[in-house]
Amino acid sequence: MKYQDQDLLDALAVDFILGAMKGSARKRFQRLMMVNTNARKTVWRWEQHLNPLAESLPATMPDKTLWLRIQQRLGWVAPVMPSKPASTTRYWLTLATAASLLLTVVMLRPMLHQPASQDIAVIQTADAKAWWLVSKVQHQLQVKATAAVTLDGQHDYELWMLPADGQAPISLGLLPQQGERLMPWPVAADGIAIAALAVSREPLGGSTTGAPTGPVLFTAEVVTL
Amino acid sequence: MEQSQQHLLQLLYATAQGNKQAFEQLYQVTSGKLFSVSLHLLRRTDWAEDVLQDAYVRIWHNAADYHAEKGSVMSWMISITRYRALDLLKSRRVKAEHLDISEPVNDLCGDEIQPGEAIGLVREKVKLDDCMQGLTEEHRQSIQLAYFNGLSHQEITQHTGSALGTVKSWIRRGLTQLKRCLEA
Repeated sequence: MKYQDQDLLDALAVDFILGAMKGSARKRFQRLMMVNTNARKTVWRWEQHLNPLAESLPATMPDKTLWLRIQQRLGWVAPVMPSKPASTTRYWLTLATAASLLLTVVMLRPMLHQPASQDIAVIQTADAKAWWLVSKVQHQLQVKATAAVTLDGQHDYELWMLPADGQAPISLGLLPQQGERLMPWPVAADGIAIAALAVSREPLGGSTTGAPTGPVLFTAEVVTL
Repeated sequence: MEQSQQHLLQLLYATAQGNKQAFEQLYQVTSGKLFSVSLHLLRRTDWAEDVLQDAYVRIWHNAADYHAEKGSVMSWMISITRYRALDLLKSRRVKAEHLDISEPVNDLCGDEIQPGEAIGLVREKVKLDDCMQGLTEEHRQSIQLAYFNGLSHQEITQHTGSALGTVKSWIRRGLTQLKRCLEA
């Protein structure tokens, strides 16, 4: 072994720090660091030389939920419920059913005189960051959460339909904070013209009064395609 | 500056004793910088956040392993973040063509804090800047691309349009010169 050679150690340490050393070479060098004090110290010295480069980067604050996620990883706070955990199988069944329905629809479509219309809405923040994409096909709402959604383990986001005739809002269900969810269109909302959709922040499990109890965070218009 | 290293050291020491408030404070004063480091290497907010999460979990568990020979507290934390980011970069096989180095990474997210806040690397930084200035443009650029963006030698050739051997020797010669200057 030529690991007594300081120039070689310097070169290896730098490759290790910069990530230029890959695969088995990287593992070998990590092993060497465990047993060879000089190799270890060389890496530490180069880290001290190079890491001040990071000082020139302007700090960028990570999303506020990150601290919460770290605490969850460390087991300090309860993890966010990943939207009705027991129903995963049911979710897939629903999805499978929906897929076969979709297939039927697709196959039937050429025979229909008029194509089925689709209502869509984008629920977005004031600065136009989309949080959810909502589409209604027949009696299903398909909702997809984007990565922009601020995860909130203490609350649920509830989706409401605001009837065009000015009646009280009708709950359409709880929005997923991650991933997609299919929601059946409530019978109570059937045949009622929609003025807009709204999202309120509610206690976990949603509003128990049948009306929004928390602040209304978003409203969105529905576009028919 | 020295005070800042002292302050971080106190926070880290308390963290090693299991003090959650100290760890939260440590997170508050260092996460902006570490997120930048991660974001520059990965250039995707979601991956950069995953890395930061891993890094702080590791910092919590390994706080007691820190000692002064490993460098300043900040340098030690930067290394933890960088190695985690490099691992992810490798496992996701991000290719250089997906990266647009010219695009300022800070457009990806808001809440930018201006540099100049003392977090314990400032004195070393001044010296490093001086020494970096002493390098040729090619040497300096290659080192920066490798350090900030995690580009391999091969990827740097695509960026600079130079041969692989040339890039390797730029980095090697640049770093040798840098070392002489820093350790003078």
